[in-house]
Order: sequence, then structure tokens, then C-alpha cells
Amino acid sequence: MPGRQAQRERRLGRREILIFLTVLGPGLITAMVDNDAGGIATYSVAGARFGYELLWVLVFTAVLLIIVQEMTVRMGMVTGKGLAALIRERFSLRLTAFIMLILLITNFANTVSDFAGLAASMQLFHIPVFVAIPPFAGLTLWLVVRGTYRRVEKAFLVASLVYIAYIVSAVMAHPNWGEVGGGLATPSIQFNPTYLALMVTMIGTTIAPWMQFYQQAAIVDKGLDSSKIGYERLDTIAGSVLMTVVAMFIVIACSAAFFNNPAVGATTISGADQAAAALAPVAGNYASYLFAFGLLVASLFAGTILPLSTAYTVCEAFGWESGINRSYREAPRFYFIYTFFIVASALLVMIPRMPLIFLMLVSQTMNGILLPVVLFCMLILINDRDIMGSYVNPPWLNTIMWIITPLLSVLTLIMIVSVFFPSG
Amino acid sequence: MNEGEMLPITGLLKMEVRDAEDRVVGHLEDLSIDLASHPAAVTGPAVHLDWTDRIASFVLPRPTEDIVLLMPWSEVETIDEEQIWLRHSHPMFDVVSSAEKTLIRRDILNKQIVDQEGNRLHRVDDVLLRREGILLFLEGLQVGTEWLPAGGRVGRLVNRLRSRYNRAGETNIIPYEAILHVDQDSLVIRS
Repeated sequence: MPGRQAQRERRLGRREILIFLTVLGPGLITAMVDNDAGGIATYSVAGARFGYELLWVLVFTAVLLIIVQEMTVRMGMVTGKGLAALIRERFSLRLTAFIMLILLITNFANTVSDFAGLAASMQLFHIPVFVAIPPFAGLTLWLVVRGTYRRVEKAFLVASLVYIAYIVSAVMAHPNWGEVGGGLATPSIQFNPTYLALMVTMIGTTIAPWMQFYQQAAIVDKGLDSSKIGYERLDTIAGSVLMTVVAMFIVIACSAAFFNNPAVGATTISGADQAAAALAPVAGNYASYLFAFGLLVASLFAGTILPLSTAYTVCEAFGWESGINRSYREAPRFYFIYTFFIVASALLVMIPRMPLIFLMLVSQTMNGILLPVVLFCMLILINDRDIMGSYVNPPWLNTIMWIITPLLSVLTLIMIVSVFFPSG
Repeated sequence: MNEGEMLPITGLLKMEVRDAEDRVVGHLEDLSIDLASHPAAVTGPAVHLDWTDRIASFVLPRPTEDIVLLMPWSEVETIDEEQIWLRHSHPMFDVVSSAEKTLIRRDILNKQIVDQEGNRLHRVDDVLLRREGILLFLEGLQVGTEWLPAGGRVGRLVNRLRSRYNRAGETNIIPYEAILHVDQDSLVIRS
């Protein structure tokens, strides 16, 4: 009998793993895309300027991210509706239209910055922008216009593996692991404006409004219901942890290339491409190329997902047909938004002397405006028993959220101010 | 309010509700409608009462705040641009069960409109009511706004439906006769 019991438990274990693999996707993809060109640039700057000092912020941010994304998981699986639809149904068309407008601007600016990241990484391989951008823009269009959800999701999941490049790059730079552990486990705050601004930017870059909209829409598109909620929570936790690990290794690699490199020292850099180039003398050319390759795939990955997320969200808010399983004729507005984002971003990046930094600032500011609005809406929605039934937030989670939400609002406000009035 | 005037539901919601003694007792939360009648008539107001100590003839153990009660339309004495007057004094209102009832705000406004094949067309941007005396009737569903017209496939479908049901004037209103049924997640119209 015990043998049979053990056999059954093994079978159950296998079955659960299979279900998990089926569910796996929305959480992992959302979190990994968060490490886009802007994110990589932020982590690179943090490592170059402050070494391991800011590593603890990533642990704190991972916990926040899991809490916020878990709520979107519950809302998507219980209601079978995306966040935009729920906001529209619970609040009003005006609020929804305002959120959609800000989201459109933010995500467009983010997409442009991802294409800029793509161009920067290709230049590290000595490939000019005009040669690099058009094929990649074509690839992202083809992937979605000609794909099905399952196929696209598989492509994205495979793309996530490329983030290992950052781990390898960091290891090749031979960091002092004792100091890394210290940076992770010991929260420390320096009261200088650059440190504080960077700390807030790291949190603001990691928890972005598009993520809540995208993950919930992906859950709905995949047809996941509340019976698999545990698996999707696991997917979300796994994605958030992996995202944090990758971000940590970016900080570690850049710390080795600049802050902990006696020949360079604490440096203020402006982008991840500088970090990739600086890695060569410390960790060798392969590490440098790996870092640049990571930036390339991250930019491509995010440059596909962000337009997709925007198209899903806007169509859902206004009730237009959407989904990559639909044809262009069935869902014209969905494909128009996606195509416009890709084509316009590619063209903008190819214009010489385009003020891309300004676009990134716009994106960060809009994110900052939108995040508190979205979080407050989410809190009201998830505590509405008419919508969530027994899946409303437990009191302890509400307590945490009512602390986190105003805190994030204040932090993003500080981020906006620091963006327009930089110092240090 | 003029006879035959078109009233959008978003303009009516939150309007003050007064009792027979002209005291403000709450605000309009929703309206129930009978989609099977022709024309589709509003059958009662759902009033968000500031407080009450009874529901119909049942006296509650203690007064309660923030309660929404559905009343029959016969409870409405009159209605103007900003207020609704009820026939009885607070809290002696007639109430009806909301079971099996369709409520405009809860079940129709903002809902996803789909055609008979299940294709998503648009969301209900507003619900237009027509006033006849003291009664309100459903005129149609508004799709698109001034700043975001429906256009395209939806625009063509609306035009087709309007000519089928002999409607002139407003071009972004789906006539109520085109509504087949209202489900939990969507509102199905003839295509």
C-alpha cells in the first residue's frame, strides 16, 4: 500500500508539473520584459555609480512586484476580464479614456526607447542603425501578425533564456561575492540626491502600469480560470524572482566594470551600451558581447510585448475585437495599434539627432502619473465582492497595499521631480 | 425636461431623489428596464437611500445606511432635469425584488456588444432614454463619442440597423429593437 501511495503521489507530482507548464507564461513573460532597455540602463547606472549599495532595493522591489502582480492574477482568473474592462465597468468611460491616453503615450515612448536600445546594442556589434532596425521591426511584425498566441508565447519564453547572458557576463567579471551578499542583505540609504533618485527610479522602472494590464490580458487570452490560480501565482513569483536575479547580475557586472574597477571607479554612465563596452577590459570580449546580446534581445522582446500589451488594453477598454488569434480583417484596430507602434518607433530611432532621452523622460513621467491611478483602481476593484466574490483581498494584504500604494505614489512623484530637476 | 427629449443614462445617474415631503432621501443608482416590452419601458428606479429603517412593510432591527432599493415606476411622482420626486414619504416606499430584472447601469452600460457570431464590436458608451410624460423608454445604445467615433465596421452596422428599424437623426445609436439578449459578459445584437 505505501508503495502504491508513493506511486500516486509521484503521478500527482508529474500531473501538477504538467499543469504548471501549461499555465506558465503570463507571469514569467511580464516580469522578464520588465528588464527592457530602460530597466537595463537603470540597473547599469546603479552598478556603475554605487556598486552593490543598491542591491537590496531589488529585493524590496521584487516583493512589491509579486504583491501587485498577484492581484492582477486573481482579478483576471476570477472575472475572466482584463483590467481595462474592469476599470471601465466599475468606474467610467472618462477615467478609462484618460488611463488609455496616458498608457498609449507611455508605452509608445517605452517602445521607442526599446528600439533605441536595439540600435545601441547593434552598434556594439558594428552594425549601423539603418541596417539593423528594419529587419528587427519586420520580425516583430511578422511574429504577431502571422502567429498564434501559443506560438508567440513559446517564442517569448525561449527569448527569456537569453537573460542568462547577464548572469554569465557578471560571473566572468569575477565579483567579490561576499560584498554582493552584503549589498543584498544590508539595506542602506545614502542621503544624497543621486542615490535617492536612482533608488526611486529602480522601483519605478520595475513596477510599471503596463505590466498589470498585460499580465491580466494574457491570462484572459489564455483562458485561465480560478481553478489554476495557484499555478499562475507560482508563474508570477518565478517570473518576479528571475527578473530580480537578472537585474542583480546587471548591477554586479556594471559594478565590476566601473565602481569596483580601480582603473575607473564610481562613474555616471548614460546607458547600457556604455556598460557593455566597459566590460571588455575587465571580463573579456565575450562578456562584453554577451552583455550587448542581452540588451539586444531584451530590447527586441520588450519592443514586441509593449505594443502588444497596448493593443490588447486599448481594444479591451473600448470593446474592439482583439487577439493575435484573430485575422487583420477581424481585429483591424488591434493590428493598427500594434503596427503603428512598431513602424513609428523604428522610424523615429532611425532619424538622426532624435531627442530620445526626452522621450524616455516623458515615458517615466507618464508612468509616474499613471501608476497611483491604476493601483488605487485595482485596490477598489479587488475589494469589491460583487466582482471578486470570496477572492477579495484578505485584511492583512489590504493593510500592506494601503501602505504600498501611497508610498509608491510619493516615490514616483519624487522620480518625476528628479527627472526634471536632476542633481549630483 | 421636454416631452420626447432624449436623456442619456449617464446624465440621470446620481441625480437627487426626494420624498413626498421634498426631503432629499438619496440619489438615483440605476433604472430597471423591461427589454421584452415594446417600446422597452423603464420599470423602476433603483434608489441609493442615505438611510432607512424599513424595507416595504418589514421594519429592520436597526436603521441601516447605504442601501439600494428597487422601486416600481408607480413610486415616481415626477422627474425633472436634476431631481426625482417619489410618491411616498421616507421610509414608506413601495419596493420590488430585483431578481430576474435587467438594470441599465449594472447590466447594459459599458457592456461589451457582440454580434450573433460572438464578434466583439464595441462597448456601450451610453444608454439613451426617451421621455414620454412621466414615463421613460429605451431609445437605444450609444456607441462612440464625439472624441472617439465608432466608425468602420461598427459604424456601418449601426447605419444598417437604423435603416432596418426606420430611425432618422443620431447616427451612433443602436436601436433598442436590435438587442437580442443581455448575458453576464456581453450584450448580443442582431447583425
